[in-house]
Amino acid sequence: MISKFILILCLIINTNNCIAQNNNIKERTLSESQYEIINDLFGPDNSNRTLYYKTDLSKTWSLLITPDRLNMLLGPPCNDGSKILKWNDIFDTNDFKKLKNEIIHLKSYDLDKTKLNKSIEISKSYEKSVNNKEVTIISAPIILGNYALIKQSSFYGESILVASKTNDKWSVICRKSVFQILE
Amino acid sequence: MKHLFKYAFLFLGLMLMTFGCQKDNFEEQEANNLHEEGINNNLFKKGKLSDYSHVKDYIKSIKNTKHTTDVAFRSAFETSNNFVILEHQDIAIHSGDEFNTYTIPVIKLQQPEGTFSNLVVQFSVASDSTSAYLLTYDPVPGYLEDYALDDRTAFSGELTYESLDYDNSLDGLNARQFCQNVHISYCNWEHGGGHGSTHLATHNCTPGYTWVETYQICDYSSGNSGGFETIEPPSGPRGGGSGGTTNGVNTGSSTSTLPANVVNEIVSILNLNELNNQAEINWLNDYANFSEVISLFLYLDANKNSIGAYEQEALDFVEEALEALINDGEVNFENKVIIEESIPDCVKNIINELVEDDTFLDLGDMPNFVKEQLNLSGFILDLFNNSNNWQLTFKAENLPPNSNGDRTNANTAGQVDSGNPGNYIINITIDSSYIENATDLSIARTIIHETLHAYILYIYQTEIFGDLAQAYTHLLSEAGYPEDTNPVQHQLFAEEFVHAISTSLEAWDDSSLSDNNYYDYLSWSGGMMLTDVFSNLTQSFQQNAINANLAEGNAGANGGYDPLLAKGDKNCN
Repeated sequence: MISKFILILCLIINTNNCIAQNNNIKERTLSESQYEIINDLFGPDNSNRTLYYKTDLSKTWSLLITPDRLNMLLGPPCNDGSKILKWNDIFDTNDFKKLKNEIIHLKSYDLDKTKLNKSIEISKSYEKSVNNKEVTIISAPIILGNYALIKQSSFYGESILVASKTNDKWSVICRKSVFQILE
Repeated sequence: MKHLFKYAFLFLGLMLMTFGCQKDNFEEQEANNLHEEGINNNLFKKGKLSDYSHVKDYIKSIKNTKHTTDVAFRSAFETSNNFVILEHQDIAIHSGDEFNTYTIPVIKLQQPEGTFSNLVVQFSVASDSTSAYLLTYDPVPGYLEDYALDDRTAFSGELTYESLDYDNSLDGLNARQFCQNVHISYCNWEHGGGHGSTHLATHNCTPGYTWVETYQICDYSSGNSGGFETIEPPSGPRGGGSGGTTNGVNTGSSTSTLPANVVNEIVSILNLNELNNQAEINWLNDYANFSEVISLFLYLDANKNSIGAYEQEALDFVEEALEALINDGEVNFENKVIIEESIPDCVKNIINELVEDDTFLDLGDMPNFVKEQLNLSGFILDLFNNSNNWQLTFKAENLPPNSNGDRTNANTAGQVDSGNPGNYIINITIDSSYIENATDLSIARTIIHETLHAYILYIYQTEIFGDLAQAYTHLLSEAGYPEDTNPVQHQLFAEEFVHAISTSLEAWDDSSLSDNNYYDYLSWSGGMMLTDVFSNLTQSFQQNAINANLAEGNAGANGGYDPLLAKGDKNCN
């Protein structure tokens, strides 16, 4: 009786471990939607962006994710090209909570070259790439409905991009910078 | 019994309130009639402007009538009359049978160094007539220090008179007279009784020991001869007499001498205290910083809101400016540009020339006009003048190599002012080795180039639907929103601004070069030379641009200018 119980217990533990491992495997890759955002934003023809091969897992920018703090950053207000969008047009209070939580739990993912547009280079170094483009490290895109948030940083600055999806195409509606260096 | 006490307290309270309410009026009325001898002489008084309704209403009426066009840095009131009243400092009152004379410390917009000014307002007792004029005192060395120790110290130095701008709306204002008799009351009563040394008459002086000296001075601004009057305090009374005149009649026409205490005003406005702000207070109290202290005060005064409170942005700017000045920096208050002490004088001069050149461009969206106009830098810096929440600072330091490992001549960093939400700082840093290596012509070009970066950062944020910001947004989108925006901005420079850089540089240089193509060559620099616009220029032009840049000097150990080929002067070593 006892041995049966131990056997069942072992099976349960083992099964749970397997499930946990499977989850990890799933979470080690970005979703198709996330690649869609990266390609739409960073990979237009001739853009020649170079991205660091792993996504950023820094968390401190979660502190900036409130309407007031985002408004304080450098860069124009969010807009659709003809009119200004207020934060509550984009994210409600609950969304901001979710975004913060997502940032706090960000992981570092490998970028899969095969899923990226040809105009995007991948670099395993922060040094400038072969095409002499600045290497940028991006966070995994955080998607909430038709809006997404992504952070990018390089030698020359650090900014948060807010994107919206219209007609199956993602585009930047605002870029809020913490700092920017120009030469 | 209980009710009796209650009513007694109520009655007592009412009595106290009644006397309290009348106190101010009594003070003003009594002053005209008090002639008795004694230590407490109410003919001469000091107090706050707000405590004296007559003169307070007069000042208010001037302000109200002249404040109608107050939209710019200086209010119409200040522009018309060229002074600012120090409302927190004591004023002096001399009350008499003919006049009540109020002396009010003021700061003139163009206060000559080492001087102080008083507004004198005289109300006639018998009629409605009022006269007002400005007196500017240029004291002998040591006077201000002596006055700080004893405010009865008799003035010694030069005195000038200036009429106020006549305002038709003020009945009885008789300001346009060219010469003025200025009366100063002196006293030689000493504690313990008897005659002593001569000092200014104050409320402590027994009337029998006071006398009046009269000085006639003429308006130096009217073109009349006369100008200033030299004042030496008399050694003793000319005839003496009670009440302040030789015939025993107290006319009430004496002015006092009140050095402006601008430092206390600034300390009060900024809430500085000796515990945490000793360095600031010491700097403010140093007479060597006279003109900067006046500028700080005038800047604050010009930036009040509709209810008279100081604008937060102005307070923030003054705090930053004060810090820069303490560290031997330089502040352009009109353009709100801070030049830190690390910038050597030779570069300060270039920045100031670019800032102060008033050949500004017309405001517009797409910078087609920029191509046609002069002084790009002055125009850009004027934008920062009109902005309350953007701060532009110039500094010099050894810049580290950029991400290519190259030395750069300068960079422009935009960032959030973390201490002041909603405010932005743009630092233009010029590399120290570049300053050592380069000619003035090259440095001026670099300042124009960097201010253009600042301009685009500003326009992108503040005019997002303008043509320029939209063009920039389009280029950013095409480039996949790179974090390094240098290539995109330089593309915009090359497409839209290169001619303006050239003409601005030529304007700064007063077209001194016989070959004005050289300005075109130098207008290309740094990342602009990596653009396809540059690649599409003729080979000879490209080579001339590269040669001009090398000849005029660059950052780094091998960046020295070429004395044989450079066409600019070398003033920074």
